[in-house]
Amino acid sequence: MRTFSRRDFLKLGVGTAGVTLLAACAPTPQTSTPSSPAQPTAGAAGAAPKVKRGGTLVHSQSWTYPTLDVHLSSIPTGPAYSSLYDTLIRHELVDDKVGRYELKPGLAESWEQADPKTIVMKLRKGVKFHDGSDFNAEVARWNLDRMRSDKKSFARDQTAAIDTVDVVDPYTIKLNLKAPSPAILAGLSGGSNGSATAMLSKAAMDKLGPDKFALNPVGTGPMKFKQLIPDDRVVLERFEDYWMKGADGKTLPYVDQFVSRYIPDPSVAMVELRSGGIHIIDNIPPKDVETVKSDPSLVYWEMPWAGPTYFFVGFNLKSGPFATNLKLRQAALYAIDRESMAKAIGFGIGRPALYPLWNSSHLGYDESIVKYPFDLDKAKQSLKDAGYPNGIDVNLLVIAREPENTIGQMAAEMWSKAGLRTKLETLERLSWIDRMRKFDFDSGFWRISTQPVDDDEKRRYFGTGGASNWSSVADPELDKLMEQGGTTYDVKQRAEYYKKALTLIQEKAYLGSGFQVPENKALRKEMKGSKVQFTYLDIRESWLDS
Amino acid sequence: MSRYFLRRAIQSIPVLLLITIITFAIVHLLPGDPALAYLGEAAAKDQVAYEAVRLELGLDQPLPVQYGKWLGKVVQGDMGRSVRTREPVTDGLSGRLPVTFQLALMAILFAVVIAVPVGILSAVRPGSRTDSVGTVFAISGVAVPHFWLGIILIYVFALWLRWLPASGYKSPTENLGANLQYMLLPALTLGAGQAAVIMRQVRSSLIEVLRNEYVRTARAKGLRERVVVQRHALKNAFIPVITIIGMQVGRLFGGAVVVESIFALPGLGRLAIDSIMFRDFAMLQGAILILAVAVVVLNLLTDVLYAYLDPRIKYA
Amino acid sequence: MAVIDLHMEMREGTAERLKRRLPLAVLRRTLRTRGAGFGLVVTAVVIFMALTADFISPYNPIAQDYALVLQTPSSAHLLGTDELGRDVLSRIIYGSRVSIQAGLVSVGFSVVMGVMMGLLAGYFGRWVDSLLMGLADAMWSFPNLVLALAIGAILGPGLTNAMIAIGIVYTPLFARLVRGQALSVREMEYIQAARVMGAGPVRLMLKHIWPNVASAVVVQASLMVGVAIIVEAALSFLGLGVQPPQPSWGSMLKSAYQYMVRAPWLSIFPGAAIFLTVLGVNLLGDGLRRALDPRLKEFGEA
Repeated sequence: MRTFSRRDFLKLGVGTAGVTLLAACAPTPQTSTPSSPAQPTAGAAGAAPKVKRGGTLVHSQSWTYPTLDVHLSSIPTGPAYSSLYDTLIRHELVDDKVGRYELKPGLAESWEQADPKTIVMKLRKGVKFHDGSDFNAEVARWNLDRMRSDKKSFARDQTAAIDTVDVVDPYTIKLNLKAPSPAILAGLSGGSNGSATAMLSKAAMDKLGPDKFALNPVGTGPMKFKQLIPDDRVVLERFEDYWMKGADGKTLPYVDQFVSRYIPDPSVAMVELRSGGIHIIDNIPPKDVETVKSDPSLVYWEMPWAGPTYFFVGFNLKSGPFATNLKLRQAALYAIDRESMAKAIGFGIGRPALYPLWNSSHLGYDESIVKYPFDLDKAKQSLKDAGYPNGIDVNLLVIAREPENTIGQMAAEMWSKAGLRTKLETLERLSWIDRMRKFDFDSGFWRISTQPVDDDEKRRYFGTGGASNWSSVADPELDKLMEQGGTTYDVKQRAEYYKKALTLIQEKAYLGSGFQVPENKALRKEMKGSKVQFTYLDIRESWLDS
Repeated sequence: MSRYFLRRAIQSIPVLLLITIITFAIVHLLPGDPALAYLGEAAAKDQVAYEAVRLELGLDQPLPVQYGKWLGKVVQGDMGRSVRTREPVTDGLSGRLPVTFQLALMAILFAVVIAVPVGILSAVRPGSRTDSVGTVFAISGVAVPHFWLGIILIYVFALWLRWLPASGYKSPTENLGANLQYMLLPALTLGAGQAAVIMRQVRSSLIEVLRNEYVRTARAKGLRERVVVQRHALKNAFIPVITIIGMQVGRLFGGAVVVESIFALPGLGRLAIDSIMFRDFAMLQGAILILAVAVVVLNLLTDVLYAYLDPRIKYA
Repeated sequence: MAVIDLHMEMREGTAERLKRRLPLAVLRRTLRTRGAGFGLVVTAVVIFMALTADFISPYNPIAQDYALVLQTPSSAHLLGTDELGRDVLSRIIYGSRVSIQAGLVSVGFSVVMGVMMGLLAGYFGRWVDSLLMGLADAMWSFPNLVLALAIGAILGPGLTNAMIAIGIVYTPLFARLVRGQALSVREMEYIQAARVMGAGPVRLMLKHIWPNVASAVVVQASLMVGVAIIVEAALSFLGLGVQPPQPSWGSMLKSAYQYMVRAPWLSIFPGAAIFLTVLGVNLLGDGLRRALDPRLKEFGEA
């Protein structure tokens, strides 16, 4: 799973003693290695044909880029970002069976940990932004400063460990950390946050200002900006001076043009894919997996080690019946029939998730930690113990969209069977946000689009004041454990902290989860060579075999 | 005539002003604010970011001040920036306007091409089989929900027959052929209901005209029925039809909302819906204003055309 | 607004004729129009379904059965099952309640609000008229669905709120219709006479003006029922309106739409139900229109 990546790099770097050195990554010349895993191909695999250049690659996703200024994007994960921008470190998948990652050189050629609180990075020379300006240490520092200081930045959490950035020479920077941070390198790679920590052109930003920059983005990536039709598409074209080389020895990317379309409706996107209008869809709903698999012109690409969690449920811990009643929360968790959810909505690819946010491969995961498997009798007993022998009326707030709608209906019925008579309220997105912020709810659930790359990022979901802490968990003990976990290099030690944290969450029944579906993509078979960073499509090595 | 035109235009100013106030009120009555929309579910609990965004969007100011500032700028031709995409509202509108206009135009064209001949045939022989078929068609056309018809058309033509793309948009300047392929199903969907209305109007007003004295006179003169219809009846029968068509364009914008959503067209209707969902006050104002102005202008043009065609109407 | 102006061409005295006519006679006249009989039958069937859903529905419309997800139509489930294994036929039967309610209540709301607005504007004239009609024009300038969606989002989800939203959106239509009539009636001699004799505005409006506009309002209302049903379905389709798991045709279509590739039949039935119902209501309304005033314009023009 994704923690493999971190573990591996920690093993590689810190070692189990974990005090001093993060091994420097050998500065390797960046040519793509044909053996590195990428998308599966239809039919005969392995017989890697010669890549073809040219053509327009069309992608579709169900959300629209909030802004092309990726530091300020609330969803910094689409392929338009990874094509426009590069990060200092790349988060590359090296084993697609288990989802093992390696941190590879990006705009930073190498890095070393001088001491637990200092990282020195050598930057790649000769890299140009699309506007012709140079990428260098000054620009890198400006970017890192912006990520941390702009209040609207979505890279703030990921870079919070950095105290200051020094320019050592034009191509070397020194990161001075506030405290030891095992998560910072993964953070700089973007990880589960895609391109949030990517490098933007300072020259363009100075010239245009943030509003105009967002409409004319400039990065160092393999594709440069051509056109934005808001709520419809982003069109990018090949950047001739890109620094990375392809298998044929010439610069990447292989395709001339890349179009990232916004198709809000997955059914419509599926129709388009099948008729050839688009080449790849990110995250198809489980119900469509069979359709894709049975269509000879399509390829199904699954990443089982990651993927969204559904029915991630939180309780109002400020007021209302759940706030002070542990037994009531436990009753609710016992009443969730995760198997049925996974089966009915997961269409064969869903799997129950007993622990919120923790997967079997995550640090601190332990089956012995208290859990709440589906048990109607226990749920009813807990409800009695909670002081509601005759049941209780509660509400469940969800955002009116799919699959939340369907899952909400299932959950409401399951809870009602156990005696928590649930009034499902499906709300327009902002009404949901508004009600949840005002604590005008008993329980609610939201979508966890994928696991965090580093356990440290989990804080946002239950740390006091966390950006996605909708139930307002505020537990000093939990905060302390997460703080300790986030500043410890020693993997075993870290795992201990996180095990305690998960145990605490479970004992207090702060959060619950339903099921998980694997991250996936559906693509046409003529599209080849695609890779992912974390699980996000990276099209620089994609090509069209037409 | 031009004075009439001017007077009508001036009369519509208070209405436009009321429209802006209603829009403003709507956006601010909606729960949640643009800053929360900007942050989304993933970060809306982040108080620091929330305050920063509110400040930047000017949401910290009292409502009347926000409205006054906005109106002041609009008068100078500056509609502000979208709070969602940060693009100037005028750019956002000018990008989407052609899509909706083309959609409406094609839908009307489609409706007229079907409705007028059927309407005439029905009117010339009321009670005939043609008339019955036409009536059934007309009544059905009004009763079909757009969103359902759209789904069925996508299923049949895109998924099953694979003749046309299911969704999306290409600009006509880029590739006219592709543009038409993309616009065909949406225009059909939107046009069906309009065809029904127009057909009924053609039929009923032609029947009425054919009952008139001068038509009878023409017939009495021994003119053939075809000539009677073509030379004498049609022009007069078309006066109310044109009114109906002019007004339908306004109604079409309402239908465009659904059709653009289903076919993923980047038009004004979808923009309006998205702007509501994102509390994008500046953009919503712009979209509604454009649509409302378009309706006002169209009604005006229709009136003028009506006056031009109907010599009985005199304007002071 | 020209459509409404056309309605105003109604001949005087309609009210008197309306009063004289017995309901049965109106019905008989209504049924003379082709298709109106069919419309009556369809409408009656839908109302029957709505009233007797508890007895005629083969299954509980919200009972989930995860073992029976997305079944094709069979003898056990005549119209198949949905994504939660619920019986589609039962959901359609229960869904008729929502559509019938939405059609009647929201139009009723429009009528009450619109008639009040129109009477006030027409009776008082001057600035009251300008203000109210300006408001009506401004509201009417919004694409109807955009306004309904916005109001629906403000009020929050739920059928009641959706009906209020639709009611508000179509209020200007009735306000305009009534106002024009009221304006012309108010100058008539007998009204002036009544006023001189000390009749208050409320009495004048209700006793003298309203009867003159009643039949036009009834006709317009009957034609708007179908529109209201479609708009409610559209709101449900866009996520406002009836809250799940309660079935409504619009929300059924919304969730069926996701399964367009996998289970296309799911999209057919709720859509067909909306279509047939609106068709029936429109045919009936068309007949009513001809019965009450043959010179009124064609349906669906508003």
